[in-house]
Amino acid sequence: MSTATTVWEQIDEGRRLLDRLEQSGFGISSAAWLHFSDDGLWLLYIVSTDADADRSAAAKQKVAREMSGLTTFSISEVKLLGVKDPIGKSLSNGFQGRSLRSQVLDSIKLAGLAVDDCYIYPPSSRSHTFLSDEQKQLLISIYNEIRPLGVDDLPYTDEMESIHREFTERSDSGLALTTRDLFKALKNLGRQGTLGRRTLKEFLSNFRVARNLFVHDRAMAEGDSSHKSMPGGNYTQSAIWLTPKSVQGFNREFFGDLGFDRQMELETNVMKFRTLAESVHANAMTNNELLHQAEEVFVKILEILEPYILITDEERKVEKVLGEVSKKFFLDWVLNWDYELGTDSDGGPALWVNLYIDQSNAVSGQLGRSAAEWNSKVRKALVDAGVDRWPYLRIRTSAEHRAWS
Amino acid sequence: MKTVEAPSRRAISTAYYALFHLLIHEATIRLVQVDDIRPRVARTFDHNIMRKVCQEYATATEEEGEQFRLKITGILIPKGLFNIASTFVALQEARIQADYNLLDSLSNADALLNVERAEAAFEDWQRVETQAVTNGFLSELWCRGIPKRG
Repeated sequence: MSTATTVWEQIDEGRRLLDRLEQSGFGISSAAWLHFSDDGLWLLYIVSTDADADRSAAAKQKVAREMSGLTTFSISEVKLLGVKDPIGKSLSNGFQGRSLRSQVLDSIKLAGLAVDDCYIYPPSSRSHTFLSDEQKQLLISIYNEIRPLGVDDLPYTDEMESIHREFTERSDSGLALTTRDLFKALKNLGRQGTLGRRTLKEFLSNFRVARNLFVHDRAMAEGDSSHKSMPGGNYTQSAIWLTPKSVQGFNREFFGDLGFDRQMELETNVMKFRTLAESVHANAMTNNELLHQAEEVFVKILEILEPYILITDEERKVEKVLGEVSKKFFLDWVLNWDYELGTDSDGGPALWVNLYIDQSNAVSGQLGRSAAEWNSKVRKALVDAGVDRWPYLRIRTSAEHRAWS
Repeated sequence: MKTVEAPSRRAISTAYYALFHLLIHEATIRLVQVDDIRPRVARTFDHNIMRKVCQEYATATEEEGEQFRLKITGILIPKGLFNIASTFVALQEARIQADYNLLDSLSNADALLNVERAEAAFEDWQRVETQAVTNGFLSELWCRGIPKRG
């Protein structure tokens, strides 16, 4: 495997390989990527009736032929198993929904493989093409009930998850379809009309980050004149909230309940803000006058959108804690910060703290140590404030934030 | 996901596994006398158990002289061990996000941060590896996953 690939790229290419093999008549009972804790490698296991002991060499050759054009893994990372193999049986149980993923992992470990993670492919990556007319109607009707404002390019949106849940509950197809399968099926059924449409949720998410950066920028600037950009100053040292991304996804129609006049005022200010941000973005420079104009416009937008930006009591508490920690402990090269509440992969309450740094001042070699120090300070401050969340620090440079706009 | 993010995601994953394997290697060397058995024992370490133990060490309270006190047992541990435990939790979560969460963009700076976190943990390891409390920490990483007799 190339060192520059991710699990998801491998999964996608693996799916392509399985499709090709199925089309060529190769009998696949189940397939999965297994992650080996010893060396961190992911290997693709394919369980096939064509891979029984006496035919394994021919089967391997066939797989190798079908791998033409695939780049994220090589034939040495593909393992073929016969259907009677104990590991093959474990995978088939997971594949047919008879075992949970954790049970599959346990039984593979018992069979002697040092595996700590797996991705089991659903029964057929082309299952959506096998939906009966009745199932297609059900899928469309669920789609119409949920009426997603926008199913984005990626299938894993809240709306798609709801569609998947409903379809699984109401369909007695017995097909173990994934969210991705249903996403593809909807596309095939011509329900891509709203795909890629900007959503209110997306806009508010962008604006909320901008709001946080704006508020924290002001707080950090208090008593620190060097923090604000000077005339002719470099973009990277100025307000990170001043970027087109802050209002990306805006659509006047989202805010019909504000009334026509307020709606128009909002749109006018958003357009002004976007023009100012784009001018900064294009020149990578700003100055006090421009910054002052942008601040005025942003405050107006903030005032109009206040009813849409809900800040919970816990978020206020977290904001206060982080504000204090940032003033006391963050180094000069931390330009700003933002946060999100959520859950971590363990299901525990988490606090994601995003630090925006000035890459020109950040000293390579200091990041790891500083992060450990800040993590400890943030955690202690949260505990003292009665907030039971595990903090995770993430960083990005101001240039990266700008590039994502 | 942007293709340019792939190396960063891979780097984070590798950083986590470097620390994961360091701890397992050190633990098995101390806990298992017979060389041939070590790889078998090494395979039984569980990511989730190790994370739970590390979370416990990373919530120790700071005392004077760069020492931290574990809440449950009251044992004092050095700052280096506290940092290693804290880094393990951070790196494991970063690795899971890097490998499975493609909805959130990942920055090069974040990849660098996590690589440097692992490097700092390796440096800390040299400072604490000979301390008695380190043996207790390593054995907990493994023993916590073994069911107690009823």
